[in-house]
Parts: sequence; C-alpha cells; structure tokens
Amino acid sequence: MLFSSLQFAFFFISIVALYYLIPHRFRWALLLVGSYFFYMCWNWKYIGLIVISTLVDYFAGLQMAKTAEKRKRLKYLLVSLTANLGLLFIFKYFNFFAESVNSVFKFAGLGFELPYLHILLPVGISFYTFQTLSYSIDVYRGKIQHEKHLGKFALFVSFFPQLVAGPIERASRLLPQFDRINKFDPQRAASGLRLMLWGLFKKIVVANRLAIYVDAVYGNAEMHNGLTLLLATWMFSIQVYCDFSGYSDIAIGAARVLGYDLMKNFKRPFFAKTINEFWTRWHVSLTTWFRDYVYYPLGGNRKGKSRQLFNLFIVFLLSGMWHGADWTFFFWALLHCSWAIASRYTLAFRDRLAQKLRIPGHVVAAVRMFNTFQLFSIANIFFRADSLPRAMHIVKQTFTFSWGRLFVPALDQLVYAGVGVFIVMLVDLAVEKTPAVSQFLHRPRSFRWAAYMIVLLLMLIMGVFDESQFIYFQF
Amino acid sequence: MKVNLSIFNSKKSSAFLTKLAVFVLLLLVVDLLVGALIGSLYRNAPYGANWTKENWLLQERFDIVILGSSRALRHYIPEVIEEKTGLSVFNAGQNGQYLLYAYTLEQLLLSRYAPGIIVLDVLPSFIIKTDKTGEEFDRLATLSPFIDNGEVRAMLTRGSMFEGLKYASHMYRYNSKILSILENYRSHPENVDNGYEVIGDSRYFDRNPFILDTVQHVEIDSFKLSLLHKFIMDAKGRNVKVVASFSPVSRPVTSRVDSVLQIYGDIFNQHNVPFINFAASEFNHYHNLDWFIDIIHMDGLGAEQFSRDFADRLLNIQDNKSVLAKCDQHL
Repeated sequence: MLFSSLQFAFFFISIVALYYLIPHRFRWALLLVGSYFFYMCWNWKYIGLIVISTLVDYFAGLQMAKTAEKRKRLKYLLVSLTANLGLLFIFKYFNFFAESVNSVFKFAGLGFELPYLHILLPVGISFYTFQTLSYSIDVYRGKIQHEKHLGKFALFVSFFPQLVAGPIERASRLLPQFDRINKFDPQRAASGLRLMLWGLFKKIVVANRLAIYVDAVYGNAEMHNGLTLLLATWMFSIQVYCDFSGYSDIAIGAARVLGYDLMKNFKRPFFAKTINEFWTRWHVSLTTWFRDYVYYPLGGNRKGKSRQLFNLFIVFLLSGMWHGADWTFFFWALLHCSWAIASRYTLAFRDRLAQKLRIPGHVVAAVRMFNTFQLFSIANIFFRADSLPRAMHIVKQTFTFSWGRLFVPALDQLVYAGVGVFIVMLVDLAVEKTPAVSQFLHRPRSFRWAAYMIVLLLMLIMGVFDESQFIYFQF
Repeated sequence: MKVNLSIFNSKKSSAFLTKLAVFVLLLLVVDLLVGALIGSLYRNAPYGANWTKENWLLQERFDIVILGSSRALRHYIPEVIEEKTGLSVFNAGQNGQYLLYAYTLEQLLLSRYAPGIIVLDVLPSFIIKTDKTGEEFDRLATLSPFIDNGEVRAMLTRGSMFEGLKYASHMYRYNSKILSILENYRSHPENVDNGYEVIGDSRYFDRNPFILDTVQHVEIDSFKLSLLHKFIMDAKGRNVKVVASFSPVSRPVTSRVDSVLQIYGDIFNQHNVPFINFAASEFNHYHNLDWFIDIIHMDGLGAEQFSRDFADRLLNIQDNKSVLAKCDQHL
C-alpha cells in the first residue's frame, strides 16, 4: 500500500476517523493493528521479522532495567544487537557476502561455494532495525527508561507513517507521545494534510515524472551519450530528493494528523554550500543516528585529526552499507567521504581565495551550491546504476565529454518534469529565504485555497499515477 | 466501548470539517469544469494521433479497418489499398500500442458499427509475457476519453475499484495530455490519408529489434492470448471478417520470432482466420533496406510496394470475395 495510492487514502481516513472516535486507552491497539496491516499489504510473511525485533528489544530493555551492573546490561545489549543486525545481515547482506566470498574462492581456485538464499528483501528492514536498535542502546546507556507496555513498544517499532522509509525516530521522542492524550486539533490536522499534499505533489508530479526519463536512460546506459547521461544523472538527484523528501513529508503529515510529531528529515539540501552542510540537511534522521550511535562513540572529532578522518570514513562506509549490499554503494560512500574530508580541509582556503578575488558573497554561495549539487550527483551515478561496470561507463561517457545529441523521447515529458521541478525549487527557495509557511498561513483563505487547488489540479493533470515504489523502500 | 464523539461537539472541529467538505466540493466542481474545458479542446482539435484519429474511425464508416502497432501504422497505405479494392480503408495502427489497444479499439468500434474486414497486423509481443505489460496497460490511457464505454472502462481499470475511482475525475481522463492537445492546434501534418501519415523514403538505421529478441525467457501470456481469441470471436459474432498479417521485415526473422509466428498460424487456423505471414521465405524480396527505416519499420516506398501486394492478397483470399462483394453492395 503506497502513500500515493487511493488504497492508502481509504486506509488513512479510516484510521483517523476511528482514532478520534475511540477512547485514548484503545488507540495504541488501533494504531498497532493498522500498522501491522499496512506492512502486511506488502508481504504478510515478513511481519514475523518485526515481531521478533520487537520482542527481543522489549525483553532486552526489561532485563537491562532490572540491573545496574554494566556487564549484565551489556550482555542484553549484545543480544539485541546480534538479533537485529543478524536478521539484517541474513535478509539484506548474506547474498552479497556469499557472492563476494565465492569470487575470492574462485580466484583462489578453491572448489567451494557458499549457497545463496532465495529470499526477498523485507521492505523497510533497515529503517525499523535502526529505530529499535536506538531504543536498546539508549536504555543501555541509561538515557531513557525502558518501556513497560509491550503494545506501545510494538507500536514504536512499527508505527505505520514511518515504518517503511523513516524518519528513523528515537524512543525518547516517540514513545512518550503514545501516552499523550491527543484531542483532535484542527490546526494540526490542517498542517498535517498540507504537508501530505506537498509530499504527494513531489512524489507524483516530480519524482515519478523524472523517473520515466531516468529509467529509460539508466536502463540502457550503453546506448546513450555523455550529455544524455549527465541530464539523467541531474534528474535522478532531483528525483531521489522529491521521492524521499516527499515520502517523509507524507509520513510526518500523516503522523501530525493523528497528533504525533516526527522529526524533520530534509531541510532543503540543494541549498547546502558544502557537502558537509548537505549531510546536515539530507536524511537527517539517519545522519544524526550515525552521529549519535557511531561517530560520537568512536570519539568524533575529540581525538585528533587522523582519528576524526577515520571516524568519518567509518560513518560513511556504514551509511553506504546501510543503503545497500553492493559495491556501487561502497563507491558512493567512498566518494561522499572523500568530498566531505576535502571540503572540510579546503574550506578556509576557499574562503580566503574568494575574499582575495573579491567575489561577491551571493556569487560564492551560488557557485558552492552548484558544486555541492554536482558532487552529490556524481556520487548518485553509483547510487542509481545497477552495477559497477555500468556506473563506470556512465562516469567515463560523461567526463570524457563524449557528448552528442540529447536523447529526447518525448518533449512533453521533459516539460511536465520541468514545471514540477520549477515549482518545488521555487517553494524550497521561498522557505529557505523566509519562514514561508507562517507567511503562507497569514494569507487570506482564498489565496491558500487557490494554492491547494492548483497543487491538486496539477497533480491530476501532470501527475504520474503509476504505482511506482518509493526509492527508499528498497533499503 | 464508549464512542468518543467530542470531535463533532467542538466548534473548532466542526468548522474545520465543514471547511474541508466545502473544499472537496469546490474541488469536484473545478475538476468538472476544467475537465470539460480540456475535453472540449481535445475533441475539437484539428488533428491528433488519438482522439481525432480514433473518433474519425468511429464516426465514419469504413469497409476495411487496419489495427496494430507502429508497423501497421507505417505499412498499410489506405489510398493504395482503396485503389485496388475499391473499398474504403482506415489505418488505425498506433505507435507504441500492441494487442491490448487493438482489442480495446476493436470493442469500441464494434459497439458503433461493423466494418467488412478487420486486418490485425500482429507482432510477436502481442501474445508473449514481457515486463512491459503494465506499461502497455498504462498506454491504454489514450482511450480514456472513451471511458464511458464498458469495454474501455474494463480495460483501463482492470477491474480495480481504485483505478475506477481515478477516472471519476474529469481532469484525470486527460492526465499528461494537455501539452499534446495544445500541440494538435499548433501543428499537424499536411498529408494524412485515413489514419496513415505519408512518409517518404528515409535513411535506414539498424535499430528496433523485436522485443522477443531482447528478452531472455519467452513465454506465452495467457491473458493476452485470451484477448486475441476474444478479438476474433467478437468480430465473427458481428459478421466481420478478420484477416491477420505479419507485415514485412528487413531481414529474415530469428528462430524465436519464427516460433511465435508458427503459434499465430495455429491460433488463426483454429479460428479459420487467414494469416498472411510476410516473414515466410516467399517474401524474401522484401529484404531490401531501401524500403525500411529500421529493422522492423518500412518507409514510404516500402509501404507503397507492400500495400499493393497486400491488397492483391486480400482480393485473392477466397472467403473475402463474398465479404468484399457485400461491402460493395453496401456502398
């Protein structure tokens, strides 16, 4: 059941109506049943994995709470880590691991092969695994109290708005909200619906439309010249932004209608002036997860420059692995890591150079935003390509400037995409420059309704309602 | 369990729900109005590969209607066939469309009138499983302005209530069409002959192999096969003669394509439908690159040669004579 489907609209309206009609004490049960149903619409068999993660972490939390002894607490944390990461390894990484090991065996001339598992990747496994792991780690660290209510804890792991593609919430933020008595708040509901509408626009009008061109080009990369590949790569960068941030907007909006606050996941990343700033604006819930549970525990930037570089490398490597079990993601991570380090250590020099050359501030900012977008896009070649040789081919074609005529299968497709991209960028620019949302709310109702109407009409006229999955579901 | 109705009691909540209802109502009205406006633009366009062409076929009566893909569109010249047979011909072939479209258009056509002959120019992909079947269904959206027809609705919504609901929107029927509608007003080809757009001789490019030759595993699609059977039976039920054809290709077909053509032969034989297979060795003289723009599409010169040949063969099919005579009387 996709957020952009009519099935979800019916499901959501039913859940909201029931939620506000039943007493508070039954609401967690409604949301839990709804969340499990929502997940089972993809593959009912895999609900078992969520139940296992839930039970393991719930009992690990209970046991950790029973003792103040660090060693015992650590033992239960390790149980949680092993169970969750073990499931993740089996379902997401085992085949990649087997393939890599088998290649080594073959190269060494050993006649042994690890078997492959014929299993599907469970939707959203990386998201809910990281969410529930953060609970175990926080309980172990004593940052939060363990949750006694199994039902509410199960809901924390599986809360449907953010179950399959985040934002990856923290127990300290989300769990207490399940105890709060939410009364129907028209302002919050309106704000949630507004966000859902905007998320749908980004997904249906922009991401799905751009996907048509990107898929056509990346699916036959060998047939296309550098110019076409470059355009498709830029388009993919915008597609993945609109797809993922669109999903996050719908998730945050849906939760808000129900009275819950989820963390912001995107802060207009294409306005970032450096790649480091980019990562403070892109998939914020994941980057802060890595910051809190990997980077800081490794020492962050407190143990000298070389250690900081190592820590950064580990974080990017894990981030690449989190996205997928493939060498393409390893290269993607490696590129981002290199650029993050290079950006950090050349920033002061670049600032001085810009001052010396007396380049106006807004020009410097614009150039840096453009460069950051380019770096992100280059890395995205590895993110999007289905194999390393194909990614290398795209890089080679693009950067040897073997350009020819642009592939334009249908001009109207590009025009529709252009209109959508323009609107998204215009809104992002407005929000970046001014607190546009509050300004928007102070406009007359006729203006606001006209804006909603235009967004809806554009969706009907230009949207691509082809049931295409959100890109981040595969993670 | 006591139902909590406080949401309806609060003034703010009631006001919100009322405003929401008004907004939805307004949206429905705007959808209806804008949908009607776009619909009118669409229907009144001077030219168009979709509505105008389809409507042309449906409004006028033709003796021979040719259905199929881009190969049908480019290969059968109505004027040439008309000259030979003395009957009116319409070329309803469409770029990028396959059996699903041909079937739906046939249903739409039969709901309006029964032509004398329907020629179905087949492609191997008409009956094999491909990963593009979903896309094929999506492309049927060109027929969405005819959504009120039961068969069109059934094919477009595939029986899904949710798909059906989408078409409740009058604007959605013209989803992704607005620019092509405007383009229909801006420019249109000067030389259009009953659905066929005249093409001159063009340079040959080595591209466009059959989908069949690009997929790894060839399997017959039972759904498409059932449509093909229904296509034939429904035409027969209205006393319409079906003639199947596999128009020429620039080089001998692969054994894979040939095996599917043999399956076609069996199917058409079963229904007593004449099948002219221009990939057979007796038509090797068509392997002339001057007549093609790529592996599977002929240019204007090739189409002229072929249309003459096809019209002769149409006249020579014994069963057709009575049908053609009937058409003649009708005229």
